[in-house]
Amino acid sequence: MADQKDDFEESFALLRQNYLQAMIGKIQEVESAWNLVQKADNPREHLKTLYLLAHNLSGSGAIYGFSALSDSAHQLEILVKPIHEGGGLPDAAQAQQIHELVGRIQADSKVPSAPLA
Amino acid sequence: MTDQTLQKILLVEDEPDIQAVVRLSLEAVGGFTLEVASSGREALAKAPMFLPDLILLDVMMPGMDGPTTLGELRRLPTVARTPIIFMTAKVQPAEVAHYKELGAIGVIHKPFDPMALSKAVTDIWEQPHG
Repeated sequence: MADQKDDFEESFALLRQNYLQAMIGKIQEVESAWNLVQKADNPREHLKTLYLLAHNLSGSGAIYGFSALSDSAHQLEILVKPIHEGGGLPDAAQAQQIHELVGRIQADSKVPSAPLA
Repeated sequence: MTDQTLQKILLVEDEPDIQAVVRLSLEAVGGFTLEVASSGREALAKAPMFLPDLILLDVMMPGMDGPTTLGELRRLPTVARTPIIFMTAKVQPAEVAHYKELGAIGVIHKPFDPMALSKAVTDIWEQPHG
């Protein structure tokens, strides 16, 4: 059992390292999607992208030891979901909240907590 | 307690980072044989060939979501009665009750502890189910 746990932890550490390396790109995608929601001709498509990216970070972040990032991404997900599903765009107050959450996700990515394992 | 042995599991999950950690958990820790489908549509193609003992199904996926995938799997004769566990962050009591009404035998909360996932799956499997 101890060997199995050691093997698991070694393999999980490698997965976590890969996740960490890819996370910078994922957060840049979140920022890019939010910028495009504000500026592009087809903002609703980018709002959907923002929602899916937030959902993915929310689901995977805590598993890999980024609980704060996961929480912030979850807040972004639940904020954006009804706007996306309603086919609308964020109003000024919602835009400010999204802006703050995107910034918080970026900050949280630098603060790993213990992984759940 | 079910009499059937749990060996083959089909994971339906669109997020590669979660696929990787579930594979590690279920294969290395649990000793299960895992097949992965990245979408509901891929699950419909793979399930009748792989014939899993159990399907782990993500609720929110682009395209065909988990509940819709469950409905479509139920139309395939060879996997129509295969037990399904949903994996989701949405685990309010009403949501869990809804998933069970759809036919799931249980729900695993995301995020999960990778080291404990196999036990969570086994615990649900060993509860009485059709």
